[in-house]
Amino acid sequence: MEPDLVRRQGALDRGLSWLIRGQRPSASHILLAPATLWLLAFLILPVASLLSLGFTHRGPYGAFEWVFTWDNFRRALDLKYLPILIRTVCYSGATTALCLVLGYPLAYFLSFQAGKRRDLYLALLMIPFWTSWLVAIYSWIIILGREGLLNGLLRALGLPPIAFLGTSFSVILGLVYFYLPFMVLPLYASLEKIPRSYVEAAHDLGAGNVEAFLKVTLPLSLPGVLAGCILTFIPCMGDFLCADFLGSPRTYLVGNLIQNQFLMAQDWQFGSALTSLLLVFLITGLYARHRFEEQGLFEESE
Amino acid sequence: MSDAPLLELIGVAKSFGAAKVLSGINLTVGHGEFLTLLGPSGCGKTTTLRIIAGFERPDSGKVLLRGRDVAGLPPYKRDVHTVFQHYALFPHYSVFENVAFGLRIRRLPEAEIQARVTEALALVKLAGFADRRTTALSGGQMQRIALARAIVGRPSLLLLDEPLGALDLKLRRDMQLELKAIQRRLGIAFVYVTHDQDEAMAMSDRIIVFHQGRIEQTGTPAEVYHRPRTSFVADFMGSANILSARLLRSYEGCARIRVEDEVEFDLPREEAPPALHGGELCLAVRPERIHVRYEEELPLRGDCVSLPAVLTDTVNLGDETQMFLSLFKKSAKTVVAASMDARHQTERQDGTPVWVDIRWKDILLLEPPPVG
Amino acid sequence: MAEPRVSRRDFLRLGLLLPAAGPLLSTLAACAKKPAERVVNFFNWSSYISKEALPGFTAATGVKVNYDVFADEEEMFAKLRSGAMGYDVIVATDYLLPRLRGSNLIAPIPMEDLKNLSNLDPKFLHTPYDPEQRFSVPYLWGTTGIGFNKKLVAKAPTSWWDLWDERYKGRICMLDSPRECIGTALLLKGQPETTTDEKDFEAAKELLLKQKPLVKQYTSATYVDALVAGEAALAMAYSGDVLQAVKENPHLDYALPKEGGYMWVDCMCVLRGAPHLADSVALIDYLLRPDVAAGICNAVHYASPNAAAQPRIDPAVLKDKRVYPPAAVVKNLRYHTPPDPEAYVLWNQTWSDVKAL
Repeated sequence: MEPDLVRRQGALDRGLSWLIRGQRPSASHILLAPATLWLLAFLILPVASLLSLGFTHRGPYGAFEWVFTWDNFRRALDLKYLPILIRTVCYSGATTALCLVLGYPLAYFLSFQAGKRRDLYLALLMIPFWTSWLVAIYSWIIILGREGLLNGLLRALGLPPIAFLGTSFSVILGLVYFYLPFMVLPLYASLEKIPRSYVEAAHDLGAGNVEAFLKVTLPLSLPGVLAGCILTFIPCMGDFLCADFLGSPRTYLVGNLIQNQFLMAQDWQFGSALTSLLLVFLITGLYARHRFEEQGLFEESE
Repeated sequence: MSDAPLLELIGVAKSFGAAKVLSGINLTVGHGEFLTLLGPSGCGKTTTLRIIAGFERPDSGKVLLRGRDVAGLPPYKRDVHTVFQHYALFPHYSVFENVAFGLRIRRLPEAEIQARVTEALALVKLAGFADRRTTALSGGQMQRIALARAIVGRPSLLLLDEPLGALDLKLRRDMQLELKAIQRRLGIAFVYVTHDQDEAMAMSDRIIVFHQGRIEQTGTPAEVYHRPRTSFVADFMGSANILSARLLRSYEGCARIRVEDEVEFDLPREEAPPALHGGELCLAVRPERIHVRYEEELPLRGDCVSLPAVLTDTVNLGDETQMFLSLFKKSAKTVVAASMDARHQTERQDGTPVWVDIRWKDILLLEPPPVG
Repeated sequence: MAEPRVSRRDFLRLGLLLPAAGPLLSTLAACAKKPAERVVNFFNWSSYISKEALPGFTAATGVKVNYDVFADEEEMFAKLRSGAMGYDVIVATDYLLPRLRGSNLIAPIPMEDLKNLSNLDPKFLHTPYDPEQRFSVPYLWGTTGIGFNKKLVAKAPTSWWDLWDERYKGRICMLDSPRECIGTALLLKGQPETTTDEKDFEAAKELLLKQKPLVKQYTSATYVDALVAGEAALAMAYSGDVLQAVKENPHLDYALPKEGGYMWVDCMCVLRGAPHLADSVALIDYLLRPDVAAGICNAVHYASPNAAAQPRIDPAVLKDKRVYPPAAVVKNLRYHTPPDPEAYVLWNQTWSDVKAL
């Protein structure tokens, strides 16, 4: 499963090749034209204008002034923001790891054991997508609050209440809750792609359940693991809602910093610079993954 | 080794939900035997193989491996290996590691693994391929690697599930001979599943014909071909003209038979015909055993039945000529004759009256197909 | 028409997730359906109107009101500045008016069409933030002080410094607002809000960063929930927000600190290029009616600048010193000073850093 952005850029590249490389337009160019225009109008242009904003000067009350400056990037690269970046990477990494630990058995179950109920379980998995973020996040506040369900349970057991909300725990919990499907679905897809005869062949050659899993299923699902980790990690890096509602001032993330520039500080120029840097950071990661694949470390099954 | 046969299935039955896939399967495999399970798709032969391998559990019945019931054992505890239909080579391992897989599981010393894998690859004539990726191999090469992987652990029984099904015809012929040679050389018993009767005939010591979850007939290739017991076997093993017949009277060494409720003749026979269901039976004649004679020609010499017929169509297939004949007035049933004789290649007009000669020994009297 | 009084709990940052498409779409839909149907698109603070006011206006005039709310004035400003057109009437704090005018977002209101303008207490007219009384019509006024849960504090807070009290670590909420937080920090450091000296802002930042380990959340939207639920003991708060919530939790109370709280006046403004100008003026005029203004004051527990409405206001509200502080206290209250564009950058960057570091 390739990230959407990469696939879209592929389409765009093909759609524009007649223009860029001087090829004569062919039927495929014409067929790609609507998609190309769509991408240009709704992806490339907005992103490009957002990114270019980072290089411009900030006018009175945040007005746009199209005067070139490096100031925003200079500010964004200030070392004082490093702790936030580190915290964000840690939270995203922890979320990704937890999603993997929780999601792999789930995906394995869905793919290998769920049988006829698989569609039902998949639908249940998607429920976080159906409910509004707001409702879901408020449910967590109700559960985790000082007077919440969880503490009610602790109290009933005669235990002292614990401050769950406003901690790294609650933020990561929220992130795991929201991004678990991003992990499970690619994992499920890659497990589903493994021919069952491979597992049977392993058993046939004397491998018990654990050995067959470690030597066949797990290595063959690695592309899904990688895709799931990327699909979980990237949106986590930009998330601000969980930190905003479930966190405290001490769980401030890059996403919150960016959001703050756009909504509170009226400093879109600085926000754009931050966004650009985050994007560069993530694209570098994606590129590294691409190189890994080229080296054949994660050869996909046929 | 004990006296018990290598493998014995006793009364094995299996259903998937409401669908009954196997019922009352009894079979044995001897040491070093090449046994073929033959039948059309959906007949239960693959399920039988999977029960032997341990991928499926029988609902009832016993699976005895050297006299020990293994019906409850998982596949990895059985001394049986499988060559899968689509090879199931591990795409993330090299050729060498694929073949070495089972040996590594058994934690054999590295030197022995090296030696045995090299030997197995040499046996399948892919000695130089150890470091290749399996995804870069041709179908025939993958087939050989799958075979090497299955035999390197020296199982006493090798199961092959339509292993040549994905290969083209010529390669298949070569592989048939090679498989047979390897089997002879290793002395491992093969249970071979196929739907291709030519393949079964060419390779097997014994053939078991499956039909609708039951064993239709067991025997050597020659027995099954020449002495089919049922119309299904007669038709599946090569082709046959199957006609309905009725045993009218049975004398000593002779039976009077009425075919398609229209044509009657006496058929001298050594053994008594299978008279079942009030005399209902099936009559089968292989096309190449029907001699078509034009009116100006002399009848076939010896013990044969001669019947008048009309030529309705002629199809030229190169060496062979197929002739479609109408023998019956009431029944629309056509009989097909096949001949390599050059004299049939000159066109005869459709509608030409001819004689049909069939030797007594070529007329097969069979159990009729079960009703419904 | 939808329930006009959207509570804070329903609202949160919904506005953030559905950026301003609401009024535009409903306007388009209305245009497409029945060009004759008259609407006004009204953008107000959350929990800031009575249930009856808008249906009453529709009943009296036949003009439908599309009501949208915000919890955070800076977000509201961001929305308007990014071109969320379609709104006609907004409610903005005195402090924001120079910026709204500076960014060319609001238009003069034809005051001569407001028959009820004379109902307003003259001391709320011709103020420093709108000396010519051209752009704004006072709606409600209130104070910024400290909301608290009586059960969770040792004694009622009397000073801004109580928000720096280690005992309440993790149970203090601060408004997510540079003007309230940095303004207070400057006040405590003895600096005027008019300062443009970076050192003063650095000191204010240090003071707020010192407080940060105690802060449960910087929020303008959910601090009342935190107080009600007992998650927070103390919160920098807007008077009426806390007083409305007393119904939900009788232990809540509100105090103005001895250093002086802040006072502000929220004003109705008409956006530049408002598509429904005449009906917008009619809405503003309707909200100035004594009965309507009194109804709003009774519902939201913010003080009304409407003198003619006074007799109709619930005596309990009118006598509540937390809603209508006595003259001596009012004397000690101050308005925030709107910063000029250069100072504005300092305020925002300081606040951004306080939250980020």
